[in-house]
Amino acid sequence: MKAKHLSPIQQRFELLSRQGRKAFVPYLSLGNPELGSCRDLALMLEDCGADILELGLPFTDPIADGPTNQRAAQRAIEAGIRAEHLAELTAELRGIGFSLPIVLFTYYNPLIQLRRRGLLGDLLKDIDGVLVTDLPPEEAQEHIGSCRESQLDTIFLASPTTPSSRLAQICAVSSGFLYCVSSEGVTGSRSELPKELESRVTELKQTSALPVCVGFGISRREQAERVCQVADGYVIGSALGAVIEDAWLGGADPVAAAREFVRKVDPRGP
Amino acid sequence: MTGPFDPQGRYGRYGGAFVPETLVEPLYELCSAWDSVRKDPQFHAELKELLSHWAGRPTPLSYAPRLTEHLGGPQLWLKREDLNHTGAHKLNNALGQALLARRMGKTHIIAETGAGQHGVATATACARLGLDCTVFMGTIDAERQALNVYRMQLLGARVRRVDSGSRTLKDAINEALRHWVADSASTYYLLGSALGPHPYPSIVRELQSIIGLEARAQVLERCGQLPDLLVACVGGGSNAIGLFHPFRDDPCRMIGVEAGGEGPGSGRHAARFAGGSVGVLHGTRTWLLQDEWGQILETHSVSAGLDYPAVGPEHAFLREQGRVEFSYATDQQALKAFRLCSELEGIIPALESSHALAWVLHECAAMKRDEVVLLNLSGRGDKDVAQVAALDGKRL
Repeated sequence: MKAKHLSPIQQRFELLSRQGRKAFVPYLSLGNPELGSCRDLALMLEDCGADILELGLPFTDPIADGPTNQRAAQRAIEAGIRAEHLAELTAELRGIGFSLPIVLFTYYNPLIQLRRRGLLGDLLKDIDGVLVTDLPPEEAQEHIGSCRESQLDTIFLASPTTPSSRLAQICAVSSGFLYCVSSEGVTGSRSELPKELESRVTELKQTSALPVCVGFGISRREQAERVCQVADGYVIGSALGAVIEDAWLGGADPVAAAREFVRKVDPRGP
Repeated sequence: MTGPFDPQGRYGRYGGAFVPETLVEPLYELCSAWDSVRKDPQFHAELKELLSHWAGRPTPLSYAPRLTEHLGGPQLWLKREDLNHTGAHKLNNALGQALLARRMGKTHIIAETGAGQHGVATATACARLGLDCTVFMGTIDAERQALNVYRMQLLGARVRRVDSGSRTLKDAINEALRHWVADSASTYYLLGSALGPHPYPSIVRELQSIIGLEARAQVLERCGQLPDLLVACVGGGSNAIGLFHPFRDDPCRMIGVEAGGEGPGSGRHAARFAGGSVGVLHGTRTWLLQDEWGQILETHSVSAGLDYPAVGPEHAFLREQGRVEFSYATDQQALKAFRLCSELEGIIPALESSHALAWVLHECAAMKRDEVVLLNLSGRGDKDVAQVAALDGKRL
């Protein structure tokens, strides 16, 4: 293990494992509500104990996203937010000492065009991993190749409908961590997480040595707590996005509102 | 085992199944169900019975004497899908897939619609087969095709208006996919064109091939020859692939006509081959209208059924192979053809089909008099009458 080069995401999970802690992985949609506030939100999240930042690059047709993330993406696209701004933001964050690994969360078509134009390495140079919601491993050969070339971890998803027979294949192409989708459906809050969640996470952990993070639908402390009992980390996306949006629309400070929300929902304590 | 990533789901570098992980297993289930029913004579007998004695197939092949005279060139023949039950070719696919869904034990059917024709066809098939039906429709389309919204409701379907994105067909598909992701166990997604992840493009092609199979036999019988030219409009491309496929090994030239809107230079059109590039949308790799960052562009066409930013993957392949040529007709050209066909043939064509006719009127005058042009009149224009009247400044 010592001789092997560890990616920033792997290093983070090594550290967490040594400390016996679980990962908190918040999601921010690029340009939600504005580019400048994304920087402040990211810094606040690091300050609040986040471990990995998921950053969403908006796409016009987000078929895996619920209304909150759809609105965030539409706002960003209408404001002219593009992959260039992703590079600007991440470079700025790195410049001021932001140290969390960053995972890009997006759809395949924007990535295809970046690759076609030879911009992938350049615009993603401060990114550590990529998660593409509409790209199953079977279609991902080219994507995996270019990610390896650019030293990006490839994070794939396992969902409740994924049969056990496909899990090994998903694990084999994944690096950094595995993303376990909590329940069927698009991103967004759920009143309850399914009862099969624990057995699915256990199955994933038996299939692969990779850390497992659970996302989709987590919006409350007791849900995060339940996930942390069995998984290596939890993702909060839409619920955080909704708090940011509400604050912004209501003329309040999105960063302050998001900080309060994170304190309330993060079960890991200081 | 057959599945969404099989080689037959690829058309050269196009096609495939680019879907969220949650939909991979439902696509496996669909592939395997389709694979078993297409080999089942009972399924075909059941479908044929309904198509013949309920939907009114075969549809006629009509000679168009006055349009032929007006054109002053080749003989023009019309494959009359407008006479299919519900007024368009869409029912061929909706009925076949609804039967498939029932066999799979699915109780709830969802569908997207643009012009409303696929929505009406799906609602009709579901009424006949006793299936619960929800149709997603962009708010802009629901407004310009209000008649079809009400028809779907009369047929017992729920119409869910989609107010996100460009509020047209593309966004209706987004919403239908989201709904399917949320409940794939009991829901069957009845996709209406030769689009989407595998196996949809091949299911739709097979169910629509009845158009070309009938037309081929009819034209041989009536004209004693194969057509020199086949023409069809192309939105997603289901009526076109249905006509073209059975002629694929024949020496016929084939033309797909896209929606030129206000002209490809205007930025307000849906001519994917004239102004697009290759990308991935709604589960398939094909030609798209997109910007340099891979964001999907808004489209425009006077015809809601052609107003979509991607073309079916097999069309992209057939074009690359040089087997099918693609061109476009503008809104104005289509509207002119719409009126001409009504006045000269006593047939009010759908605005979609009017694009194919417009191309023939514009491009075919120089062909010889003994040459045969076979045009797929994919639907009737009753649904478009209010819209055309409004363009004339008349409120009906």
